[in-house]
Amino acid sequence: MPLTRGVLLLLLLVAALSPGPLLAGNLGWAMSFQAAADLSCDQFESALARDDWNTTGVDAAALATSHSLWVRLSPGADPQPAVVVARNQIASEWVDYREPGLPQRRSTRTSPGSTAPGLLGVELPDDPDGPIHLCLGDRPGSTSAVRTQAIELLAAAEFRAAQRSGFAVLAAAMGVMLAMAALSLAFHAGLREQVFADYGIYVLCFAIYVLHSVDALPWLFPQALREGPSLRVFALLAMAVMAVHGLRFTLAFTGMGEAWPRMSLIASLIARIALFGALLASLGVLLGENGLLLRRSGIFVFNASIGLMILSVVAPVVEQAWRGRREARIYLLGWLPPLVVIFGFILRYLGITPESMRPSGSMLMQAAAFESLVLGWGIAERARYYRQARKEALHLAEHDPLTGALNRDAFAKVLKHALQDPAEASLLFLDVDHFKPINDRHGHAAGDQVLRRLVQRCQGELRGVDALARLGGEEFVAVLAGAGRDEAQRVAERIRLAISRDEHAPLPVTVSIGLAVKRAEDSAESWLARADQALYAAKHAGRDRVAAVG
Amino acid sequence: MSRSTRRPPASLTARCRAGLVTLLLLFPGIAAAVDAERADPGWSLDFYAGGDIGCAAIEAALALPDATWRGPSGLSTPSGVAGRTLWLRLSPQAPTAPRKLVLRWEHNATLNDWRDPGQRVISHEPGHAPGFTVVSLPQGRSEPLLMCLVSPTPRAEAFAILTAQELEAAERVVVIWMALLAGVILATCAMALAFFLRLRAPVFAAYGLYSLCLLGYLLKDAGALEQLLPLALQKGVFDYALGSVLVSGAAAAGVRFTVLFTRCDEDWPRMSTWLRRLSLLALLAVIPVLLSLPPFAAGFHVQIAGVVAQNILIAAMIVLIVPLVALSARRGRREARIYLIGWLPLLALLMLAVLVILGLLPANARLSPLWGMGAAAFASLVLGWGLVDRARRDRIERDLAVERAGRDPLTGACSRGALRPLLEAAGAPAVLLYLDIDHFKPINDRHGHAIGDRCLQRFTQRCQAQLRGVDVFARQGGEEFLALLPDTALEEGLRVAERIRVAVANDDEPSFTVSIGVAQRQPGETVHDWIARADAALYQAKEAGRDRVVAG
Repeated sequence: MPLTRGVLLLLLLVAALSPGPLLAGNLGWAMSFQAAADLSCDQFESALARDDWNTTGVDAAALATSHSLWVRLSPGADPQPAVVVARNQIASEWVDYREPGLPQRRSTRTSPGSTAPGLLGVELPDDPDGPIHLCLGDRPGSTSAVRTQAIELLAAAEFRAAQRSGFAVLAAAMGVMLAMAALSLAFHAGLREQVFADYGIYVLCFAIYVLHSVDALPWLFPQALREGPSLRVFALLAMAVMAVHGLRFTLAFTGMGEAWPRMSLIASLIARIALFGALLASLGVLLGENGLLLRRSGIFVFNASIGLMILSVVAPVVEQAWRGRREARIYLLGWLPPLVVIFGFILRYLGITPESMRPSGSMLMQAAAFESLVLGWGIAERARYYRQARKEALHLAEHDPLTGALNRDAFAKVLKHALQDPAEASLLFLDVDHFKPINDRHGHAAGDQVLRRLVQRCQGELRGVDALARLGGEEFVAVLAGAGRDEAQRVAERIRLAISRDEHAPLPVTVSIGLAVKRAEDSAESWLARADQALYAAKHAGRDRVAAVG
Repeated sequence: MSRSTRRPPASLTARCRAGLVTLLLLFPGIAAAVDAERADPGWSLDFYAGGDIGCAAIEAALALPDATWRGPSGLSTPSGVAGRTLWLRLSPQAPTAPRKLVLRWEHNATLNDWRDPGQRVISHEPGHAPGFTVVSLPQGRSEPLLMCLVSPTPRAEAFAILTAQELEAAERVVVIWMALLAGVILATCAMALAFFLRLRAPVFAAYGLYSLCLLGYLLKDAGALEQLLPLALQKGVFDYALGSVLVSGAAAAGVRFTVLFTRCDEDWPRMSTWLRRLSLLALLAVIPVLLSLPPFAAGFHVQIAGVVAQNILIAAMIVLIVPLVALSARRGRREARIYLIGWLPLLALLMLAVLVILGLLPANARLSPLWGMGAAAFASLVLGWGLVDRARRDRIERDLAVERAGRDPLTGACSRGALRPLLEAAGAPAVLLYLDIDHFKPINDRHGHAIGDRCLQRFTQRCQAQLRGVDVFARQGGEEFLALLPDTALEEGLRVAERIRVAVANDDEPSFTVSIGVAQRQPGETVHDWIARADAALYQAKEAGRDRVVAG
């Protein structure tokens, strides 16, 4: 199955793009931890005075309340140049206490663009004069929690390589998403189909959301806007727009909108509630300290409704896919990964799953890029639909719907062509004998069947270059290209016999055939008129026979 | 979904202009964002492009008078397939801070380090981004350093002295751009493969193969492919052969794609045949390169001959393609125009690279491989537009053909115009049904037009299933339809109408009902009056509570 093959290929590509595992060791340093008492990492002296440093890690429950973690790095005999790294702690920052009284902060916000997504590092010196104390703390108002598992030591070269591959994966994912958004918007511009506009807007907003989830969004903003509320408001609104357009795309693309109208209505309603929640949260962010409650409740409404929306969409889409709707299958293939990741974020936010099960930003990134690639199938599907429809329509435009023979217009073209061609040609004018009584006695359905069978039999006797057309009622014409009088006579006789001796005919019928050979001075009308005259002669002579003129 | 809203398409040139303006607006912003402040290098660089002194001739290089050493600005250096030599003298100015010597986009070159004359040391730092060859410069040294570069395209501009932070920033910019552009090319490639699998048109297979080979070659040219390959395949002859195979594959598949996409073979069959022959020759030019692989181990000159032949063939193909496609475009082929817009930058860059490799242009003319990737990504996006154009034309042709067939494009029912003569011609025993879907407006408003359209299509199918071949089912407009039943008595017409009503009412998805007015043609009645009577009957059916049949 080509779809499976394509998927395998895509998976291979994605696997080739994702960064490999990094080697981690202690590099001559010993790490120990302590849960901090406060969120701001300020109480350096009291942390130093305590002696409950733990070498294995700190209980997640203790960290869930304090939101910050002290890390002590004691140099061994031969400390190597290393970088201490916090992975996927995007809402956190390192506070460096090497110079007491002057803590230095390092977060993705203070040095945007210099740290790869999900990789927050502080360089350690290669000639330390004692233990180094660092604090990893969450920014105020964040909903995630720090984890000791997220902290590791990397050699300087490893850190550089990890940073580079982090940047490369992010940039490649962005490239894929932007290309697909551009393509989708181009399809909308060309075809005026709303579904492509929805998808394009959705993917652009999804790209913003991905950048936000790995804390790379500040890179795109000038320095002045990075710390202010505008960035958060921007991200929130992008997420809300993404939800609304993503849903509209889903409904139209998968066929859920028409098959499950009530469920679709509910999902649209939930999307509007999510939009409302995002607006509420944005207002809260803009109000600053006074809007804390507003912000929290807005974010809660937003997250909960997005979770509900995902739930409400999955079952109908699965049902559509089960029924064999291609687009629904493509959708399931491409969209399930990002939906699952987003759902994972929401479950974590609602406190249903533990912190350790929180998906990482890079998972979302890869799922998003994969999803965009799969849309290529959706677009190809659409293009195929038009190609097919065009083929069918062209057939419809040139053929008689009842019998499948050419229609009047197409026949006129064939006739013109034959007249321009210097080669010989003959025209047969066929008429079913006594057709009206058949219709009256046996009904229209029987009459239709007789005509269909007649065309089948005629075409059996004609070559590929010959053309058979229905002029209307029970009258047919055939143009025999390259056939002179004798050959045309033979063909006409064969046709007559094929019909009168048809053993599988629904009703026994005969035909009369008039034959006219093309003359140099002929026009379409004169040629047809002579064939008609010949037919009249055949009818007059007693029917079921061939008569020729010229 | 397939509403036929046909608008006059914006002209090609207008769209190009809009696209160009957008690009022009975007790029300075991005360029300004990545341009960072530079620290004092601390070392000064002098060059001597000495083709006659090989890297082994250190004594001769040391003996060169000061006047022969030139600064990096305005220094033109020759290029050549077999490799040229460029000497580099590094004089310390303020040797306090640690600095790195960086060589850009020369991963195939040999850099010899002559810190201690008479002893050759090659010391590249491992683990840097693609396209970066890095040498740590010693601190506190007062004597100048001598280095020697052997490369087909040795350029003074390729060298820079950077601090560690500057190097990191420069590497980041390269990695991000490279991955972004590769992502764009990859996405279009996946898309082309999907089109191939669905439409079964070979043009898409050719494109997919071409863009995969081209992406592979561009990554290799930038030194990034090595980092994606397993270690065993990274260096040596295989590396060289891989580049050659990728170029040939891209050239052959690219020519095939060009001919199929622009359809220039229909306009210029003979020239297209020549083009195809050339692409086959380019494929054959791989053989000498493959011969230099281990089991055959032919000499260096065989390999060079293969590379020269390949480059000459590619140049010939480009020279043939451009006028061919331009002539097709002048004849009004849309695809040829789209191709010209999308591929001219890439073809120009390829031509430039070929001329530099063949030694016809100085090495300084060589551009960073990122430009090639940018041009390829641009071409990918333009191809996307070509796909849109194709789908749109398919749809327009479908609508035209449907109209020509006397059909309503949305439902496939007979069109109003085509029904008229049939009504005029209908004899005395004939029945007309006037059908109207109940409460259709709310369906449209609530679920959107796409769903409304599907309802109409479904309704047409249901009705046609109940009618004979001689009956005509036509769309009157909106959700109103007419059915003409020739040679039919009123009782029979009422039976058919009732059958239609039941079939529609029993259809669960989407669920709606229909009201039907039935009128038999009276002798001597005009068509207008006949329709009016059926309409009046329909009105009665609606008044009586809908979902019913009423005879007029």
